[in-house]
Amino acid sequence: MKKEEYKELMYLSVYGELNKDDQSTLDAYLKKHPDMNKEFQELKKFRSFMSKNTVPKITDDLLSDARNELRAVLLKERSKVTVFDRIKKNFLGELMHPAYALSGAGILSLGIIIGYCSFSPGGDEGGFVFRSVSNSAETSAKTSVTNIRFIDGDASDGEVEFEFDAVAPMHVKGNIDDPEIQKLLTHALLNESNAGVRLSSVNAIRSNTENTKAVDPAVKAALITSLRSDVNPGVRREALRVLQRCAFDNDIRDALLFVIAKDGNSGLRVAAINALETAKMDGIRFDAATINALKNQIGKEQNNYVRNRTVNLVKEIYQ
Amino acid sequence: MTQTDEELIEQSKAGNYVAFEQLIYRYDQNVLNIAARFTRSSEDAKDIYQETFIRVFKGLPAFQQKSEFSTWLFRIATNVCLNHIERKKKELTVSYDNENYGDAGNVHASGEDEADSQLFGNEISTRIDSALLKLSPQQKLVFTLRHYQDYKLKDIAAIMNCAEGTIKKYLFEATQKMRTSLHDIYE
Repeated sequence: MKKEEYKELMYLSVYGELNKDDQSTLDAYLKKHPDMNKEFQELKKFRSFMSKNTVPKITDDLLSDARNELRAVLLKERSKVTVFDRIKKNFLGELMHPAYALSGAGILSLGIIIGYCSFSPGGDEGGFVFRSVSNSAETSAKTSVTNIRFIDGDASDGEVEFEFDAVAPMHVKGNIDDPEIQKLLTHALLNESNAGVRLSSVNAIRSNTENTKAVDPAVKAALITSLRSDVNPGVRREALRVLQRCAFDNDIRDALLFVIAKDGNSGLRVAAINALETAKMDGIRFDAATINALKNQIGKEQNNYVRNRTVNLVKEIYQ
Repeated sequence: MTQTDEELIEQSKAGNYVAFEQLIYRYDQNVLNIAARFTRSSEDAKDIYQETFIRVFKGLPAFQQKSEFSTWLFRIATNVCLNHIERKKKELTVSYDNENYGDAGNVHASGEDEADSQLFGNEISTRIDSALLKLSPQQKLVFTLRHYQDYKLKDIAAIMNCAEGTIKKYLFEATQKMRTSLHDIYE
């Protein structure tokens, strides 16, 4: 084996990536070569120095900031996905088999011709494309048209082409247990910019948890996200109330600890402490990590009342 | 019951954003850690974090799970880190040494906020920062992943989509350069 190869073994050894046989080979070589052994010792010293001087892990605040900013950006990204894209992906994608496409196109053409003959106002001016767009705009008075983008704005040939985002209000009525309804509610809870709507969404979810502790995991995850990061304390408070009705688990415990440590609203911090107390009374046992997290918080808490409540909670857990 | 990555990926692909958040929250702390250690600036780390997950969001529908989600994710994150350095290099108006990539990696600019100095700042850290600046972006990334994130060489190779031999080369060169730069303080 060449000297360079032994050097590679030295590096791999220092980084803990050497198998036993190669380590023995290296050890034997280093015994016979003091200069290389010296180099090896220096390398180990360097590795030890770097291990001792590692930068601390990122803070929860930084992570929380990053998540909130990401959510805002992704919200914009998602809004770019048009209704047509979804239809194309979920519906047309399935039907784009040539046979289906051909027969579908035939039926569609027939339908267009029948519809055109039946409902045409009689005039010949303007093409069909123009009329269809115009008609749809007229018949959907509540549709708001935004973000008009010109594809061909040159009217010298008598035609222009553009696309736009059409947003139409939809009326939905259904059972609160319906997964689709719950999906809409969690979507509103996480994405709606109006705090009142978010609050109504939590309230609706809340009414669904009156008699059961079993909550859909996606709904629970949305509530936890809301509790941890909603800018409105009222929404966070409601999310906490609903989570208190759910079966207590580690996710909820972590969310409550997060509130106690990070939430700027002292009322919410107290509510989170109360929630942990209730869980304790219900027979939930807390592990050492939870107790340590609470103890750490005692030293950091600025509000005397909240601090005393935290102290009491820790005492209760020990009893 | 905890859902697997595969289940969350399928739900995310079907448009379930809550599942998407659950999925990325399993790994996002690591991504932010890598970015913070790589840039040594919390603001730049957040930029890298954000760009990484936007790419994941856009790329997920086409992700075929031929590799682990985490490997794919960290590959994106490392690419974003490397692109970030390139972008910074273009933005900087100061001259730099081509061979060492000069100040291109100096994203921990003098105007960084106090939190950064608390997170990264002391005399030894400053010296380590300066030494890291002398590495090429690839050397720096491999060194960061090995030293601070404790990834094994084969994992780094998978993440960076390189041969293990190439990763070893980057790591050994980086280690040698770092030793030379920090010789007076670690001995």
